[in-house]
Amino acid sequence: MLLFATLLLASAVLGQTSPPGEPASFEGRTIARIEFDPPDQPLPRDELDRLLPMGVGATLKMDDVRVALRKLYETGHYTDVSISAEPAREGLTLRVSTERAYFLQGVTVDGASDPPNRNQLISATKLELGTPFSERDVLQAIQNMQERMLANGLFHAGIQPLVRRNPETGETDVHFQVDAGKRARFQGAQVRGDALHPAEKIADATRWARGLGFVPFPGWRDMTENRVQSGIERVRQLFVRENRLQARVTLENINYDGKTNTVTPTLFINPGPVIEVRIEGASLSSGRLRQLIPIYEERNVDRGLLIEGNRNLIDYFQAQGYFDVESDFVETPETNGLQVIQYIIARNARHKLVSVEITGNRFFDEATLRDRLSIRPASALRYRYGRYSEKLRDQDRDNIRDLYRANGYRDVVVEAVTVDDFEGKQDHLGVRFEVQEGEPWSVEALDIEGVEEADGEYLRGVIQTSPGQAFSETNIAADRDAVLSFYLNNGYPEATFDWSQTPGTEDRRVRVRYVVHPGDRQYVRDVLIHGLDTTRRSLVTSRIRLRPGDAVSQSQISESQRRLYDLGIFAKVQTALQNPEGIEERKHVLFHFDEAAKYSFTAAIGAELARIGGGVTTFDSPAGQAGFSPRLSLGISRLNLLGLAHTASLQGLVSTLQQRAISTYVVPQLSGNENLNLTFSALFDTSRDVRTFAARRWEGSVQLAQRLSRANSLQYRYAFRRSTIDENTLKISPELIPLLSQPVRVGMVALTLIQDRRDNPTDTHRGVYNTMDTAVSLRQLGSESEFTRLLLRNSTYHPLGKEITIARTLQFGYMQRLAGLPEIPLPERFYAGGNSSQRAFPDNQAGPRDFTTGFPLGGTAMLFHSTEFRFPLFGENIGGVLFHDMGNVYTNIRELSFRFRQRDIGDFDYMVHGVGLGIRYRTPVGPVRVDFSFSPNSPRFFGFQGTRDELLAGTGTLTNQRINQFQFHFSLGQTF
Amino acid sequence: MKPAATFAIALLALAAPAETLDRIAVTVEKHVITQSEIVRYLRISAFLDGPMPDISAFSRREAAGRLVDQYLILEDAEQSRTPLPSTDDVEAMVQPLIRRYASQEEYLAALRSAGVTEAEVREHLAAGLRMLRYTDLRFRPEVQYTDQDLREFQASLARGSAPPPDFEQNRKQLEKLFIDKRLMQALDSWLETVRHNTPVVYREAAFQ
Repeated sequence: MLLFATLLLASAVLGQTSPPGEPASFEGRTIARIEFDPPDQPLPRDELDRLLPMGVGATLKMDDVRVALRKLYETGHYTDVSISAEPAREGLTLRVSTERAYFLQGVTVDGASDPPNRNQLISATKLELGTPFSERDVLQAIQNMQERMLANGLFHAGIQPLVRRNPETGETDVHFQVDAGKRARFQGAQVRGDALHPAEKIADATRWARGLGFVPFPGWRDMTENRVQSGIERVRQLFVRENRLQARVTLENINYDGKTNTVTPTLFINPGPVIEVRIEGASLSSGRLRQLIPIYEERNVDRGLLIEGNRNLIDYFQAQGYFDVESDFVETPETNGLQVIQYIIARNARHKLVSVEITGNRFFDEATLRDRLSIRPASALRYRYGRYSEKLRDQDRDNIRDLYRANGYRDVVVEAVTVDDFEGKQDHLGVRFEVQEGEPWSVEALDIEGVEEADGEYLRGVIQTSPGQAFSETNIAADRDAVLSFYLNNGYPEATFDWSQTPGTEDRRVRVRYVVHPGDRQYVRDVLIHGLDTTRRSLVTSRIRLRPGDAVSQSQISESQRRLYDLGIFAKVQTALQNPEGIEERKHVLFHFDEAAKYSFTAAIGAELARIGGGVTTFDSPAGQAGFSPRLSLGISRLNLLGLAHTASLQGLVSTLQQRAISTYVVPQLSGNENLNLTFSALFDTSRDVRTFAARRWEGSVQLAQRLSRANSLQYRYAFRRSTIDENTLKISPELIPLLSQPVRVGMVALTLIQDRRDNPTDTHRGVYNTMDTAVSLRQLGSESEFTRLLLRNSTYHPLGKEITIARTLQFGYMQRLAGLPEIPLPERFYAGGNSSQRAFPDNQAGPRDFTTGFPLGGTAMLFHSTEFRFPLFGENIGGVLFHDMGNVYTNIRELSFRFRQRDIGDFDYMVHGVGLGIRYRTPVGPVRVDFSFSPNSPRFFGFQGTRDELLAGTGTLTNQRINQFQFHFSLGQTF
Repeated sequence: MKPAATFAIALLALAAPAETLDRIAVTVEKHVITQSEIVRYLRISAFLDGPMPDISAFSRREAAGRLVDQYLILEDAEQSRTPLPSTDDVEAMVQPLIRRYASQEEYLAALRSAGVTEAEVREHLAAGLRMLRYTDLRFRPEVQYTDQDLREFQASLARGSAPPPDFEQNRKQLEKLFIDKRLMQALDSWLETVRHNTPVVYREAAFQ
């Protein structure tokens, strides 16, 4: 009976349906189990349990169920969630049913026809790494890509998407296979509106027809977006050249003819009026006018731009010394297609800024404040009338004020006073910055809230605000950056920083309070790597500094990215957090790679214009003469060999002075150590850059470079080479030829220490650069000539104020024969002189010379010292250098001498001096350099007039010659 | 307990069906509207407006749309720092509701019968009040009108009926109606734009 009743009741329960969203009777019952469906969830179970507000043993509340749905959805890992319950023996079983979300792992495109290239199409998809992915995104991406292809004339393009999901990692990889089809061609241009020119002329201006420059070819070019836009711009320029600055040329539509696969763009033209800008009261070149009045650049005429032009004119004339210049403009309405804009300028008297004075400063010395000034008193060369305008003066005043405020002087008042007819001299101008410092404000106490004790200890060490220190909002802004950066790099992406101040117990004392909310910490769940084709995975993983369980650190992600880029084998390394908006604690960190092309080719042509030695067979000009040497270089590199980021390359150089082939094999970051690089190289070189002989060299070497610290590095090297001198090219005494023309093998180990503490290697103002190169050549290393070599260099740079630098460098070299051949072979000796060592000499012309022919023989010791005074000369980009070079290459260390005078015509072991002036023109790749040098004691020597046969026959004549006292050098970069 | 009784209870427990407690019905960006919130909305609306709640699929779908709009408006109200109604403001709306009933007990009984709590009703009313305030603050400055606009509005109201009442006498009432109409138009237009730019996903399983 009871069983029957139970079944009846069960049947009733089964038939009962609660209204949707209104579960009848489960609230208040005990939760016995919580199950997830499917059991394999994108988040670990412990994290899921942490997210759910209810747990096993708790009583069921409907509010908790709602919160659970919300929390799970907010993780971003689910697209749908529902929670159901069913009675179990011990209470209720809750079942959480989920549909997982997928995230973008990467986008690849194949079959692109440039333009648009592969990267442009990937960019057009607007699919972002790590973000939630849905099928709708693919449709939108295809639409975006098609727009790009249509804009580039690819009207028959087809795109086939392939979406691959990885349930294990929740990632989706999207591949688009593009069939670009044939690109459409232009077929003319339709013109609408008021073109003012014949349609043919407009069509010609577009350059959509084929041609080379102004020479037309039959047919039309392929359509590309760039060509459409540049064609429109050229048509617009047609009108701009007629001063129709407001001309509007718009692309109305593009008519496509599917039968012929051609397009005819329709351009709508509104030429606008002719704009004439007139200047009254001064004269300006049209180029300068276009530079100063922004209507030309903005291609628009409105009052704002005309006012800006007026300001620019005032600044321009003030910079020319017309400090009282007045300017205004009148805009006349358009009449008969002409609109006149007239600037009326009253330059008034020309002034000269002769004095800039700062008074009232106690906390900062004058030099510190002057460093912040951009106005300059007149100087002979650089600023003839000084550099001044009211705008610059006010900026300088504000800079001084801000400097004081940043250092706690919150009440500082800075006035800028311009004094006309300074010291009674008409049109002389003086500027005085009057500083009233006031009393400094300081921090009485600093409270930091919301941080762990250990973090607080660290933060107090890095922030600038502390009790007793100056109170400044600049410091607080820096503190804010330091604090947020600390948290961001320790897995707290949502950290916030607020600050407040309250008056302290005394005047000008402030209590500062920092409130930090670190937010939830994020950890690395795993590092997911995609996009590797040939590169070995281990190569990549060893350079990623994040491991599962680490805090997500933006700095570590960026550092890993930098290390990967440093391998030089990736065109792109993208990084992202999977599901960046999700609230889960453990995040997947994504690295997506785009490998660079395997092969790279380089080709260059150039020429050397310098004092080049005389002819190959003649003995004229042992000191060299102006010559021209064209050169061609070609190179091929294979990147990422074996998938290990090794690079093999072959470079060739051919010129009339040198033929060189060099093959290298580079192993970067040896064994994953980014401070070690290993290089193998093989070289063949034929050169006659030293005028005395032409040498042929085969060399193999291996070098391990080790970076010890940011400034210091070491290079360990073994080189083996065989040098052959063509005795027919030797321009030395015949009796020396058998001795010095022998082929020689040299096996050498070398160690180089480099210390570089320069602020800017291409144009140094401050710092130190030291090198020490030691080498030993021994029989055991395969050498026929045993010797040691030491090369030292010490360069220091000392700023004098903001723009002047004193630079000096010392170079010392010493070779000592140990055994083997009776002389150190000619190609191994020191040759110096020229634009990087001693500017009193042409290149490689310093040191001992052959007594018969006068050609340099090189030496076994050298000493050079150069001093440069580097200063600004004209404007911002042209600088000057006064220099003094001294030194020489010596026969040997015992002959090293500081003697000024050359004892006799056979004496080359004395100190040659050169003084001179250099000009430097600043460019983005370093300064372009021109140096003129005068040497009061350049060496005299015997030269030989005659042919080789005459030399061998003992005929010909000796002539007195001398290294030209005036030398000229042209190069890139500073001398040292 | 007798074994048979134990067995019967166990069987009853096992035979009871799994029941969906709640599910995501709509998402508006990262915001979730659950199925139970939709039903609660319908119940509160019915309690306030009188008729029995209709929780059919069609009604739930309509209510979901209204909750989406409510979320979008309240989000913007939050962003623009529209003040929250005070307790007194809400109380002023609740009191007339209570006065509909003979006693407090009768009122509470009606709440129970409707399946809602007083806190839920107050929350519902507060949200409505905040939306009204937001609408007024956000769109009222846009509503500009002239006498001519009011006269045309009056004419449109009176179209087809007896001669229109005196304009000046009814001016205030006309102004209020005119402004309300324009405010609603502005709100509708704004909502249409926001809805278009906001990803809103309805889960069909919640509306079956």
